[in-house]
Amino acid sequence: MAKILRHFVDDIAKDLSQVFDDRKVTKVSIAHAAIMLGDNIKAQHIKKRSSGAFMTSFDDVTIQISETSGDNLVKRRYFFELPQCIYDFNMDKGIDYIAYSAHPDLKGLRPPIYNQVFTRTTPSSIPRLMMNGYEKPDIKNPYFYRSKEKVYLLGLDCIDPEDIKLEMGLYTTLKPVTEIDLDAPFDFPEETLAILKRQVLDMSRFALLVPQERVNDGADNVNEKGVPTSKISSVNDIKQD
Amino acid sequence: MIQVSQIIDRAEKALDAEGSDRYKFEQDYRPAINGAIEFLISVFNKAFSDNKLTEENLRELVLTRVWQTSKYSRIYFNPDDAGGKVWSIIRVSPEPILDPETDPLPNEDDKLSLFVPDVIFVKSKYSANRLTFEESAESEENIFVDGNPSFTNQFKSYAYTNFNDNAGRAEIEILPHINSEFVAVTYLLRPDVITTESDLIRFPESMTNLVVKQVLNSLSTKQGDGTNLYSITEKDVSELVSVMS
Repeated sequence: MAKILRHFVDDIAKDLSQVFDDRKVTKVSIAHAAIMLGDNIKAQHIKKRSSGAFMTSFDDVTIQISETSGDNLVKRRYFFELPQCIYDFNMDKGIDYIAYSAHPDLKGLRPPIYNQVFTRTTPSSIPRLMMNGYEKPDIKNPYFYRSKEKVYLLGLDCIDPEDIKLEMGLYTTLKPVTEIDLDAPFDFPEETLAILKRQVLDMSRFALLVPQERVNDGADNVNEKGVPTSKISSVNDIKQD
Repeated sequence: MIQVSQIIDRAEKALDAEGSDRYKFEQDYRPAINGAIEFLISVFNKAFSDNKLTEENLRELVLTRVWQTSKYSRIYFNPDDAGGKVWSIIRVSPEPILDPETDPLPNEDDKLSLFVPDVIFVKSKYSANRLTFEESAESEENIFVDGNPSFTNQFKSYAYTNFNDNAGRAEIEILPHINSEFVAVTYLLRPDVITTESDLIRFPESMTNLVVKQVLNSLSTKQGDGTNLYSITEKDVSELVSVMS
């Protein structure tokens, strides 16, 4: 059975003894740290392994076209919005593939994913592609490029966007705390959970080690030792040489 | 519960005033007993602020009742509904499971909360944390503060702010705002002052000796400085209070 984020968060809250009503580290903070640090570990894991374990497939994604220009919006160019945040790997490899299926009345097209897969490019490369008949974007040789959360598509201009549906495989990041399901399988490599736990514990402990001068206590706090303090030393400290 | 007559009996014995008219209820015992009640309330308030309260000490005063919030997400504790004046809030449980299951009640004046009688609080998976008034404003947009309205998943949390007189009545406020929904509240009743010898003091019986000592201490003040009774009871009360809090 896959592990769930709730157990991970509760485990750390227990380790930090932050399960009482006056806790200083909330479960949201722990989950936020887990997601933030977890994304780094997960990204490294995906880059190291050729595996589909963390690729998420999306089907029936619709193509949009805008008649107006705007912030990060190019007029009359096919695009779609990424359905979820993805990792920003080199050469846009956070997008594993994008394929399209067209209306069945359009003859001569093969099923999606087999051949109708988009090739990644960049806007600055497009003029060069246009000069070569074999590389020129067209219905059988479509391209995509990414611009923030939008992905623009080249080569499909002769098809009505309503006749096209996209299928894609993306390497998605962990969802933010406002959206993540605590009780769903945690979309994270299980063999690296121990590393994540260590990192979250370190970060949470650091939050609890508040320097004394930063504590704004009322005069009624008689237990001064209740606030843990520590000297933060630099790794470049000359005494360590 | 402690019977007032029991306090008077013990005090009379300590004063060696059995059957005597030296000490009278109206003039001596009643002010001394009410003074002891107020003194103990002050002691407990200090214990609350130091997070030293154990509810077992005051179990006779702990009640759980259910209210329906006003449209401002507030609850007013009418003493007639709450069983007396509310001393301190112990737990606020939004989204309670009630027995029997009940639909929200019609509320003609939705600016006021509504007491829900004849229901039993079974459980709730939420327990609101108390925020200061400054923190409560922060919770509106800060997802790391309890009571933030952004969450619809399992991170949803509730908070409440303590009594605040908004329109002539002291109310607590639940965050994020819930309009006309049930909330179970566990609270401490403030012990009433006594008026007659047949009254009961809403403190646990284990505190009888402490109340008697404090009553004797008050009476010794009247007898003048330097009495043995004053110094002895002063010491006893100090010891008992330090043990309790």
